[in-house]
Amino acid sequence: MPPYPYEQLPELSMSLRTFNRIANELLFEQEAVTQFINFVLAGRWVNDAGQPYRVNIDPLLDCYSGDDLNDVAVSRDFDSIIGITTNNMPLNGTLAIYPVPNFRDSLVRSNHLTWKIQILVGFESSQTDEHIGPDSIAFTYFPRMRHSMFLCIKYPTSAWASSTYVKRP
Amino acid sequence: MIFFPKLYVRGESPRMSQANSALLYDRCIRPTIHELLPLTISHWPISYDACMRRIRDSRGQFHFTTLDIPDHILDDFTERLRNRLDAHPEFRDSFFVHEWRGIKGYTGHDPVDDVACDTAIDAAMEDIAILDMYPPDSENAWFIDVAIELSSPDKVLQWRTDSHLRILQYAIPTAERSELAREMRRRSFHKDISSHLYDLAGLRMEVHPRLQGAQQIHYVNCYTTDKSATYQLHRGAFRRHRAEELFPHKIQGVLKDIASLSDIYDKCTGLHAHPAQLSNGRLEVRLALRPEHVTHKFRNVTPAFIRNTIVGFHPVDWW
Repeated sequence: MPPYPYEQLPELSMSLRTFNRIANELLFEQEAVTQFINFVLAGRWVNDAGQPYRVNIDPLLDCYSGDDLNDVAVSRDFDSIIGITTNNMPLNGTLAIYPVPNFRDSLVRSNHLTWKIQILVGFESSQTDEHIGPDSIAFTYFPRMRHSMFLCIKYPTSAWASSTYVKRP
Repeated sequence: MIFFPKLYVRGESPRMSQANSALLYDRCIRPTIHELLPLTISHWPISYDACMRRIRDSRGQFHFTTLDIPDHILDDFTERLRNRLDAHPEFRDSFFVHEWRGIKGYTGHDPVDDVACDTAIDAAMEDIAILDMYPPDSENAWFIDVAIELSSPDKVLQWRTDSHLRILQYAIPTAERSELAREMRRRSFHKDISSHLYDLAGLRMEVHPRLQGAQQIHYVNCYTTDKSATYQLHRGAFRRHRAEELFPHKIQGVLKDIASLSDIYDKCTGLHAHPAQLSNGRLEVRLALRPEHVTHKFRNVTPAFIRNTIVGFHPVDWW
């Protein structure tokens, strides 16, 4: 192993493709495991002329950009809906309630929205406003929209083709 | 979900206590059901404690079950439950949070097609009684994630780090460029660097109220879908490994995980029996669910925006 990693070396930027090519050559063609490790983990490489370099990957070299990307398609979608209501549940359809909710569901991650609540502070119980996220407030996992339908796919051909047919409950 | 702000104690776990869960079921939910659906009340456990005993099996495992509330009594149910909640100091000021997550699979459409856009928003909101979303004098608030996804038939796409300001300007057009640039230096802005390549990164930003504008844009998220090849919600091979796992008695596990990673990456190249794993660029914003905002958001994605924000890689180079 060469002295590591303190000596100053000239820097060399290379594309992702070039970096991969050299790494492949070191590991699979030359079977130079030590040089491979120095190259991929420490960015240290010695070229064929014996010149050592400190290698940086510049992914913008040799990538597809600008007019190379004229085949890019654009689609649009809606991914989540969040509603906060106080006195109504404006929902269509039957709800299903857990009398005892799953404890695992009583942990919630942030949904990047906050609520202003008033909390009591100090010995004189004065009130102050605080903005907090849903991951800070006690809640119970309550109703969910009812989904009773299940779709099963049966494979009669493979059942007949097989010599054993396992009937599951 | 019902949230109980009166139970909030700064710095303490938000977990609902057993006593409060019992109070909620025994004094609020079950009596309300008893009033509205007296003929079905025998299906509802007589108490929270009785239900806890019923759903636990001989090995101590819980099996959670649900009971139905038909939609024709939903308004009455909500009103009576509301009154009962307010009768208990710990449940006062509680509010309902309704969440539909992961609906992009059935709401995807061409952004320039008016009919497709209308059909998609109808599909997204089919569970919601639209006319009752914002009753007069209510504090109801609704939000929706609107997203665009850029894809190539044969390339792995990545967002350019030097385009983040341009992306934010596109996502929050009412905000001043200088203000967005300032916001990018705050803690509310996160850069998600891709594979240690600093020139390629997604972003996340919780938008300061000052910049939210009329569309009330609360959150911007920009990422790529290549993580789908390795993303796990459970603890698996694609997790952060710690240095202690390199000790002799643990290292076999690390080597096995590395072999698993290498195998997946190799398959993702498309050089073998499987097609290549490509990557799309996604840009999402969370904004107020109002027709005037949602109808027009992200309908126009210009070639210049694509050229300036995205780069592509051959799958073999990337994986």
